[in-house]
Amino acid sequence: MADGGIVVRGVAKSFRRRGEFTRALASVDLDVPEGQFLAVIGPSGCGKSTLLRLIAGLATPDDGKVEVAGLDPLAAREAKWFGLVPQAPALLPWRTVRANIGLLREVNKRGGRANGDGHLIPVDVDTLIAAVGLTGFESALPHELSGGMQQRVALARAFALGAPVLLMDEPFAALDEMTREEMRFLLLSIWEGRAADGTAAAPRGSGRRPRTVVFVTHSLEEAVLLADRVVVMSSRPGRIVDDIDIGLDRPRSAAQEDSDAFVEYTRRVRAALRSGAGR
Amino acid sequence: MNRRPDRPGAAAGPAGGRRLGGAVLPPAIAFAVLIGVWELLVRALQVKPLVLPAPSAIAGAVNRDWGGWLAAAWVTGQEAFGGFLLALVVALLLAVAATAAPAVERAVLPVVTVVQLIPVVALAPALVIGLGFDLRPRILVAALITFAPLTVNTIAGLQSVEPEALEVMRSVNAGEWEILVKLRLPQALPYIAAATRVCVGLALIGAMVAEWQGSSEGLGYVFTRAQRSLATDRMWASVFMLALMGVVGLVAIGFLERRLLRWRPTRLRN
Repeated sequence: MADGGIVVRGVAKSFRRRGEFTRALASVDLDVPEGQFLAVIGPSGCGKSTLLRLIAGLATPDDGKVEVAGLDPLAAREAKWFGLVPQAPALLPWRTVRANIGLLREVNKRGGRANGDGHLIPVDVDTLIAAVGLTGFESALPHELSGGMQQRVALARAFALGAPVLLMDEPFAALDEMTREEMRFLLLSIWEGRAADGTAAAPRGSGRRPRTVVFVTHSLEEAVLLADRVVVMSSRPGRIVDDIDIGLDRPRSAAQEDSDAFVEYTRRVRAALRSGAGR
Repeated sequence: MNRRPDRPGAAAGPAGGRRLGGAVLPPAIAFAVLIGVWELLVRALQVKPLVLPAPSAIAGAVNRDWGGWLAAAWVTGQEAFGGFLLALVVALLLAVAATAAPAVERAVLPVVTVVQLIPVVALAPALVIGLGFDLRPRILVAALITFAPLTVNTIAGLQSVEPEALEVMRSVNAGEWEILVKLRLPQALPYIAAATRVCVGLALIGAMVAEWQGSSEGLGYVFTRAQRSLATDRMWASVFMLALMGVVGLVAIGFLERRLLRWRPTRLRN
């Protein structure tokens, strides 16, 4: 079984918009070991979403290379290494909650490639629905749900496939502060392998392949609370200006947000953001 | 967060019935008043039937020969529906091609616009000469007249999918065919339904006008024959039959919309 790490080497990407050339990314190097929760933070326009799309094979770099589990992004996509959580929930309005969650498991069924190459993490959909707190809403339609609940469905949809690499593009940015807080801990509980009520259901490292996460955000607290490591980017052209390991214990809890260590980490990330912006 | 959402399906009992009554009763009263005023005016002012027949006279003309009217309506209905289906199939194929290749879209849209600008009504005589006196030219006229709205709306519908939904599908290696079937076609359905509403009237007009040009059957034929003998009651009656068919068509679409587009938060009302 291949290691599910992500390797980004010398990646550059430019866009042409109305005749003007914009360098979105300039020579980015990044290694994400398997099982790491990486947060990518930076001001808007720093190319963090572009970086995510390059990893997912939704865009191709002008220069450099990206590898996921030793495969180029298109091959990794074909082998079902990715679960994507976009900025908008992007649910299919004619599908029920359960059918939306199951959507990605149906793709490529006819070609017999729906299950990847055996690296998918087995997921029980009912347990997952319970974990995201949607029990009782399985047959509801998206327009009957609140924004927060729709984003829970989008989160569950990405987890349901069992893909070992989760790519999240500011998934909670459109939610109100209370719901966002709730969603952060929800994500932590699923990723850390706890049940929604906080009891240990299937702790990480219990023989199961750990999930690697690349989480794009513009929130300092979100990055520090969720991640093992925070990469800070600056804009125009986008590049990595700092790389900070977050040494907070797991499972993470709300109490940690008030700890001195947490405050110190956010201070460091903020300082890196400022220095990047000042250059 | 624990509150169950309101399920529209669950409320379709008495509330649904009341809604239906509320939708049907006011227009029914309005039509009754309109027809009543018309009847009264024609009688009171002693308007000559040649100028304007009374509703009772028009109803009498229909009532004298139900079988004949139904047979004529059946022919016109076949032409209109056949033309619509033909246009729908071509529109779907073109829209799928246009969505798959932007070059096709750039090529097709001007053609669609030109077809829309052609006065199909004026083209009908030429089509009848070219294709003969059977159903074919009349189906073709109905198809030409409905082609543009169907194509433009289907293209808009297929391309109205959320970019994020597309990326989610692509991130798991979904092919264009899977994206078409799972994402684009369901997304286009409300657009196609809206175009179909417009096309009901257009297709019927197209079929009738084509019948004027050379036909020995259908409501258009009944109309021209009545015109030659100055039978205004039968002329009006054939127009009303056409309008009635339009109403039946719209009701059928409304029924299909309620079945197929239940997932829409807001539905177009009849």
